[in-house]
Amino acid sequence: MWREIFFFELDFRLKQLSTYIFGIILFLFGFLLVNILGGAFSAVSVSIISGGERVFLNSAFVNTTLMERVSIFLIFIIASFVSSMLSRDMENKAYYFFFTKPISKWSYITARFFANMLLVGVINLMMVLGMFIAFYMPWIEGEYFMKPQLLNYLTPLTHIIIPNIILIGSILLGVFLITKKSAYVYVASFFILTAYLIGRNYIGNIENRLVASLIDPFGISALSEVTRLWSVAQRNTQPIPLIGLLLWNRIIWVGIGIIILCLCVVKFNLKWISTDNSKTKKASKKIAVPEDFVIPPIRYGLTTSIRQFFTMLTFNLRLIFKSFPLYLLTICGIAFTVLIVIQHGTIYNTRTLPVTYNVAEAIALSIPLLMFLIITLYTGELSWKSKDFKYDGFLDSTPTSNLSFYLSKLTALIILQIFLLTTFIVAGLVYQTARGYTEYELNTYISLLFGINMPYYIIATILCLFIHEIIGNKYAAHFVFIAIFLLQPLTEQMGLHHTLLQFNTTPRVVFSDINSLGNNLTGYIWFTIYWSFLAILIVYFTVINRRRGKNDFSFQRLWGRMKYRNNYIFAVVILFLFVLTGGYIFYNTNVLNAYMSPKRAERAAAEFERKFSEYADLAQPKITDVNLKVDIYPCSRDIHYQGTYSLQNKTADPIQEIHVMVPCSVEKKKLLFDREHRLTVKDEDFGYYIFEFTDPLMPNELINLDFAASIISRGFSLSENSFINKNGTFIHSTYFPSIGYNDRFEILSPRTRKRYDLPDKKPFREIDDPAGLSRNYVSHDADWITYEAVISTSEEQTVLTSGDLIRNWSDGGRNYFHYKLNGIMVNYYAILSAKYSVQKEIFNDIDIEIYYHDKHDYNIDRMMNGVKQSLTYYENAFGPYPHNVLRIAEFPRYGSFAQSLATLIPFSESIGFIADIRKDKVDYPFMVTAHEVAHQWWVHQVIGANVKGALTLAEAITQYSALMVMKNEFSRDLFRQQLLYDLTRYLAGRSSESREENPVYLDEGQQYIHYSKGAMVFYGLSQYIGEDTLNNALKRFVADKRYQEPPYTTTLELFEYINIPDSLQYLLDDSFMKITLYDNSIKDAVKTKNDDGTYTVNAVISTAKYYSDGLGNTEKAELNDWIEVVVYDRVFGGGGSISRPIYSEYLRFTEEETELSITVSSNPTKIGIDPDYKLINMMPYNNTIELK
Amino acid sequence: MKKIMTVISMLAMIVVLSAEQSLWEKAMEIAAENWNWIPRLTTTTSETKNLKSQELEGSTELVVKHNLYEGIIINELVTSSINGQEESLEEASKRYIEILQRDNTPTRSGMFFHVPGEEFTLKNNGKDKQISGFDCIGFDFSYRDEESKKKSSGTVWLDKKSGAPILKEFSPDKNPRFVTGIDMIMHYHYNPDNGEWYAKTVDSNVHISAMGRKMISNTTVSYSEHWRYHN
Repeated sequence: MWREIFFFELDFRLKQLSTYIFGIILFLFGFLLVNILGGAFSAVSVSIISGGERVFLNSAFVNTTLMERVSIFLIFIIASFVSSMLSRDMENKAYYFFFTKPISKWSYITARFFANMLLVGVINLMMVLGMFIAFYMPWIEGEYFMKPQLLNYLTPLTHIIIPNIILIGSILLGVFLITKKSAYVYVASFFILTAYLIGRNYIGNIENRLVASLIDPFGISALSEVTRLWSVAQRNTQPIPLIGLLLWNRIIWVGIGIIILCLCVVKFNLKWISTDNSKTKKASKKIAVPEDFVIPPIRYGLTTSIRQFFTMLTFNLRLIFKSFPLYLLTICGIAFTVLIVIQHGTIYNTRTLPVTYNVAEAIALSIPLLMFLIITLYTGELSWKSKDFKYDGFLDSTPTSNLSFYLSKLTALIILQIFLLTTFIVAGLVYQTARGYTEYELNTYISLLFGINMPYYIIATILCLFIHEIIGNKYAAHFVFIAIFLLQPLTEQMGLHHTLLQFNTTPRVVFSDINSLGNNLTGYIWFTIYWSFLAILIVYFTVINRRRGKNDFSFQRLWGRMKYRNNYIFAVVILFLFVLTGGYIFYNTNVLNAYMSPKRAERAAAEFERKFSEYADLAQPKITDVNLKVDIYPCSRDIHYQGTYSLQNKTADPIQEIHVMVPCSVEKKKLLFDREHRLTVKDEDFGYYIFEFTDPLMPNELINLDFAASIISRGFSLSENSFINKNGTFIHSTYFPSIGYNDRFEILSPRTRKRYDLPDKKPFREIDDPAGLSRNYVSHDADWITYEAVISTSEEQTVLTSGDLIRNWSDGGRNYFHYKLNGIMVNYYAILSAKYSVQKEIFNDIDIEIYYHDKHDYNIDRMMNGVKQSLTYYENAFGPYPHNVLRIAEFPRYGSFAQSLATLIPFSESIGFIADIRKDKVDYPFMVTAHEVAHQWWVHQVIGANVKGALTLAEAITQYSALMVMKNEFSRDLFRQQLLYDLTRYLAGRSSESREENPVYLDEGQQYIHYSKGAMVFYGLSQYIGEDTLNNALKRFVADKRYQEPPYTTTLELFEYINIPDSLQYLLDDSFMKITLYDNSIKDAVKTKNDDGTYTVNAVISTAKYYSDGLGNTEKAELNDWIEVVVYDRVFGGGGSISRPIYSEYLRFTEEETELSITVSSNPTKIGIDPDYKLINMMPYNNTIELK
Repeated sequence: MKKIMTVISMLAMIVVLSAEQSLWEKAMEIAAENWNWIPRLTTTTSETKNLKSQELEGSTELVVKHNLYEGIIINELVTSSINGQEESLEEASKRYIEILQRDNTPTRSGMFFHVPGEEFTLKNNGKDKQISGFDCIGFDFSYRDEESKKKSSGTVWLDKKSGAPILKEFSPDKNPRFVTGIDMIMHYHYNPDNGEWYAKTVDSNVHISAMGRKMISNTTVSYSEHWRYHN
């Protein structure tokens, strides 16, 4: 009988349209995905997977990563199959037939379950098929794919998808059997999906990776644990091994799935359906109709329609709000939101304060899933209620207008959304209060959630109602709706970049305490109007096409209804308004402002390079002095500037022509040299101008360039300028003219370069390249400049830029500021203008000033402390600070970074000003401050040549310097935590390298190298040779290279300053010149108490050293290295306990396994090999062990 | 004449009140100057007696060392004994874990950092006493601790000359469960020559009534080898 039921179920499913819809959608999804990855749409960057351009796009690793994400879809397909599997027996009363036959419950449940799950698997295979077929498409860039191997497609199925189908299916079946309602199956789907998302966010943070890998039901954590530190080479060649943690995870969770299934069957009772008939009993009571009953006269008209509307609205609202799953989903949604809110804005594991915009934004980020599920569920319920309960025929025959039917549903669903958003706002307020934050800003909640988010959901609801009207199957409609919104991001990857073409998409509005709703608000409003007109059209077609009775969709009927009473005129008017609004938007985004799709920008960059790169090495004069006059108009968001550059011919030859580049975004450009010249090339498309001189500029001769231009804001655009703001303007020197060809505009991606037939290009020149040595890495057109600026702004704002404030005055309702730098600086500066509060202190004769938004005074003392401690350490270690003033200035959170310019550190409001620093958390406002202050030495005094390793000099030493300041400020545990963070960032970074990993001294701008590994190896070196020894070397280096003229210095020159004993020479080579990885771990350790009260620790230590090439191919290296071994005891205090080193020695290790016996005086609790990460350990979590 | 007397008495009251005020201000200044003293050693001895039979129920002695390690004041167990028997440090560490984990970082908190007001009342009780060679004047107080939110009241004795608190006798307003009364006396060390001031000993008598038995526990906590914590 099992077989018969199994095939009956298969046969039934195969006759359902929804099965094919699911299959086709997944097939298309797989097909599109590979096409996008394979460059069919020539999108600029595809960041669907991490792994870089060197990872084959159909390797087992990539396929598994993609399919793991697609398993999100499967939850809804499984939910749809499971809920209809048994509910249709209820709806069709088929259970009378089934349960009177000699069918065992095992057969009844398991045969149908496995038939459905088999189909889910087959539907998933359709995606695999789509991916597989796509590879053979002629337009696919084949070199990024390996020869397809069946195993690479099947292992994701066997390792991830099939076990997950069994698990999810069993859980959902259990839920259905307990609740007997399909709504609860969707609630459970949401729970599972939430668990999946939480898992992705949180499990990665659990330090105990063994536990993390086993408790994750979907195997994601175990999978990433197995592949986490794979090199590019491994990602390309290795199949996903079903071993270790991944194997155990799968066994555990498939086992749990099967147990749940068995329990479902055991608990299942064949009388199960007929027992739930309390309502039926009630309904079966006969209603006696009085004999004198007279049907009241019915008046048709607006009043009747309004009354009908309210009656149906009340009915619908009752249906929604009496539904228990709604509250379950809301509670689950709130729990999920709280988790997101807690994590939102977290940096270095340190949370932000629950300021209102942060909480509101986290709510907005966390609710889409819930909102879509609720929209799907309740739109389905309202649309299909009458059909499910078989009274649709009666209802459709009543004299009720389609519009009343429709509006009652839509209004009920909008009220539902208002209820949900209000609930979330209340939850947000409770969360803020719980964390002791009481500066509530209800208007921020309302504007962000109701103003910015809600229109999106209303339009989505309108689409959902339309889909349910068009597709005659509830579950298929559910899936199609969810699929549309999940697949929508792919439209951009397919080349539909313009927001006008992406349904229900608007420019992103980012709230900032400094600049409120920002510059995208106008664009947002217009786009919302535009999509609203389309939504009205959808409403029109949904209403006019409403099926009454058993009719199927028919164009004839649709056209007939459109013609009735000239209904079509309404549609035409709305269509006209839709097109008109679209036209106005287009005028703003494409005519008033320049719109460039990523593809066009890419093409333009290629054309620019082809046209002008021949001038890349052309000798040009260098800027030596910058004098600016800038007028900022925050209200209109305009800037007018004029200025003068002094240029000097620093070459040995005369210069006949000067090339000037001016950003295309500036207008009314004027360029004038103070000697006779002729404009020979004027390329307005690229802002490239070539001036030829009658008399060439002789060596050392000076020339002045006067310039003027304006930056005018007009209408609204898609790439809204976020630098010129009503409050919080922050512009860089890139807005001003530059001299010579600038290769920063060239395309870097090897794959894209190939697409445009551009020659290979490395991000940085070779370390001994003469052209690279002739300029510094920050500025191609200047060495060191003097700088002076007079800048005006509106009367309530303050202007900040590099230099001393010489004078400040007001005139004509505007504020003027005259700044002049004492000394010289690199040619990179910025101008900020905002309403500021300020905290000032004088420290070591240096004016320290912190300018901040008046509400953001939470961490100013920490930053001030950071500046003072940094100045103290750096002046002592590297030499004097060269200026009189050092300022920190807050800017709006459109950028999340801080940067260091001469005397000025712009600092984003999102990375420190609202950090919630607790005792055991990384004080990153302090840390970032220490980093940026260090740049005042490492960039603003010593700068590397524009060759490989430039950023090691700029960023690695800077971060090392900051680490040293932090070491004095942070506890040992916190400092170690920071080192571990850097190490894991390096290891993860090298796994997704898109080019080749370089050794530290040849870093090519790879952040994971210069920020993370670079800082770590400098720190490690300082611990091996002594902090003072290294700092003295750096001090001498600064003294020699300070404000150096070309040729600029390199990392190789730096190493000549470091005196290192012969015994440690290998360390310098391994750390900086090679890619060296250690695998050091404590295999076993025990302690015994000796008679004299001392303790002996016996440990087995495993050590290994590997050298890696740029692709991650490793080979074992001979080990003869000094590695630190530390034994700790545990001491108490400060509200907890901490580990204290009681034994610390550098021991020479030569063997793979070493047995050690160490005697210590107090009770040891832990032993570690290189516990403070002075070496690069590729398995960083096994280097310490608690003692038994 | 009556009027003159009234004026004189009012003036006298003002003088007395302002003298009290200035004495307390001096006490606060001394506390502010000496907020960061940490004892190197804390010795706690405790004896519990049955009130009815006057028999010794038990005694403990605990010595804890306080050192600075990476900015944290760590608490290390030196010795521990129960009823005269020394116990292993491992065992004692488990038993006294809460005491050991305690955050002993000095803060500028406590009644000596407050001006009398709503949560803290202070009144001269008109009594004089010589304590440890200092001529002291007594002030009755009632104080609610900011952190623990617990209220206590008693008498604090200030050196008439310098205002330095020399002794504090006090009891909590609310007793813990099974405790019927607590009396505490805190002795302070004060050196007028260099201004050093810190807590020296705390004697406490705790009356316990549980399961029909009445007991008294006498505890003395002595602080020694003081050093300054620099924040």
